[in-house]
Amino acid sequence: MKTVLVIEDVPEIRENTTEILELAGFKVITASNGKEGLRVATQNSPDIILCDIMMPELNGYEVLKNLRKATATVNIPFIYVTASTEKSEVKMAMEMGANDYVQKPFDTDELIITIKKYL
Amino acid sequence: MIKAFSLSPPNTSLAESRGMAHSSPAELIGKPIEVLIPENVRHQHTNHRKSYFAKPKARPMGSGMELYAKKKNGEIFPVEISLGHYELDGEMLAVAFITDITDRVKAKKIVTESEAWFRNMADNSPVMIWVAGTNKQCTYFNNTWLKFKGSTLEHELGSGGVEGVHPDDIERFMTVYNDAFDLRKSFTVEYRMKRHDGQYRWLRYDGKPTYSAENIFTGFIGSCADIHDQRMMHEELELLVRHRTTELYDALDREKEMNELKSRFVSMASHEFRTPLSIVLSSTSLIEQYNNLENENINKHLSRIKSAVSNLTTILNDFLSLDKLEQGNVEIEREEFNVAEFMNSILDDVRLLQKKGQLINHIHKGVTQVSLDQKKLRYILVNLLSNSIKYSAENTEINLDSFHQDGDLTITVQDHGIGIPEAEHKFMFNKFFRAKNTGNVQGTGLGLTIVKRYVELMDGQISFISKPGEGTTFIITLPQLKSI
Repeated sequence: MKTVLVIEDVPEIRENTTEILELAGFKVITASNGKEGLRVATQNSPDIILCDIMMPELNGYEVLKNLRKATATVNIPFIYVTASTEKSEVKMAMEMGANDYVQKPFDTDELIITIKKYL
Repeated sequence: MIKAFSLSPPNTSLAESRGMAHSSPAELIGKPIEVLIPENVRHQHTNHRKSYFAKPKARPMGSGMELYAKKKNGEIFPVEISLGHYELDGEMLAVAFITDITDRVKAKKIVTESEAWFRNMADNSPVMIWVAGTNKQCTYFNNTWLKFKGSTLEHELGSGGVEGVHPDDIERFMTVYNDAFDLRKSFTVEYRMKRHDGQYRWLRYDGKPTYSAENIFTGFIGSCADIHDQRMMHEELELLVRHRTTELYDALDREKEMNELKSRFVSMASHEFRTPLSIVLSSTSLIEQYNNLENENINKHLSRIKSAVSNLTTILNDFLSLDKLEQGNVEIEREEFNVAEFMNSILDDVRLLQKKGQLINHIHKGVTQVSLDQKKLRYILVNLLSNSIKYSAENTEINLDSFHQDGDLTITVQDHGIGIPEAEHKFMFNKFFRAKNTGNVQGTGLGLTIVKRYVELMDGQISFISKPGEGTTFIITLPQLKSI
């Protein structure tokens, strides 16, 4: 069973995403801010990470930057889940080494298809 | 009695030519001197003559008086007479030197008349006139000046003219005046001077150096005009212009502020609405999955919620797109792709929107490879097709045709829907405009506005043909780069 780390500060979205992914057959671990996400990622080495961009403590860009620096996490597929439609932000995210992004509000099928692309 | 009479210079017939005297000096000899004097003063002369002989001395005759002599023909003319005397053989003789001053009197009269004429003109001039000597002191002011100040010539002459200059202007005025005199250069200075009624009036004071016929500096002459009303009007106008300019800038600032606020709001709303929408949509999906009962009603409502969320997302996206377009923040990113395949993927996207029995036909002619901004083209086509779907009845056909030839990709979207009332054709691309016959079909009136802007950003053109009740055809032409 593949493990997905969901880093998301809004509890409802975090829980709903967890439920959707569990129903789709994934094991889900969560973090409610960037700092925690970084710690969980390092400790648990998930198969893929879904991460929000605007978060307290450490934003999504910082999380990715740190993950890409450490050998243990450098190769974990990383997908942004963002409410931002700013092309510049999305572009920046991709340039920093994200594998993909999904825009909020996301369609369940679209999210699962995107995740499966990288597993 | 005249003892002798001679004319100077001698041997001229001046006397005759002028008819001045008797035909010859000889003719006068032995006659009383009074024959040369006009009859009306002749009798006085007899007494004058007697008193002269009583106390003879060399002197001009009739000092300060106008003297006249009489010609043989009776004509009277002006003369100047000097008297002298001597004794000859114990007899006292008087000598009178008589000069004909007709010419001098005439010349003086002309000068006097012309002076009077100039003075009259100066005094009646609407501008004030002044004259100053080499020592900067004024030697003349016309009546207009005197009337303006309510002063007398005696008071004004010399340096009286500067009296009444506004205390704030006097220093500046004197500097200009003195400098101009020292440099003998023309000058103009505007200053305030007190009028006879006590009001300070703005004057324009012009001066110009004057020179004699021998080119010797003689002083200055100048005019002075009351420009108070003009100046006040000018100042008022300038004040008004300044005021209006400030207002305009304020309005611009406000407009800019409002725009920024709107932009921030749109961006905030677009971002912040997405979080609750995400929750609604994901919860709906979860309900769908947990709903094992296959209850048709529940499924119907779940699908409505999803569709409403999708609509709301589209609206948010449109607002954001339009705002970006208005801020000039939209760039075209061309890439090469197969337009026929692209059209098919668009048809897949809109299939969910189609009404019962609606059919979309697609035909592409020409080269399939194009270079366009895929995302913009997707927006354009999805918008036009979904409009066709929304405004057409069930069981109708929609035609999506693309035609690539001569460097232009032409796309037409034709439906057999409700059409657009002719009177509203010209408003179709205005933002928030919706035709009257759209009824309760949902929409924001932003779609076509964005479509048109995207087409234009790709250097293309958009037009439509529509008739109510018959349908609408949109035609888009997008130029292709020469290399393709």
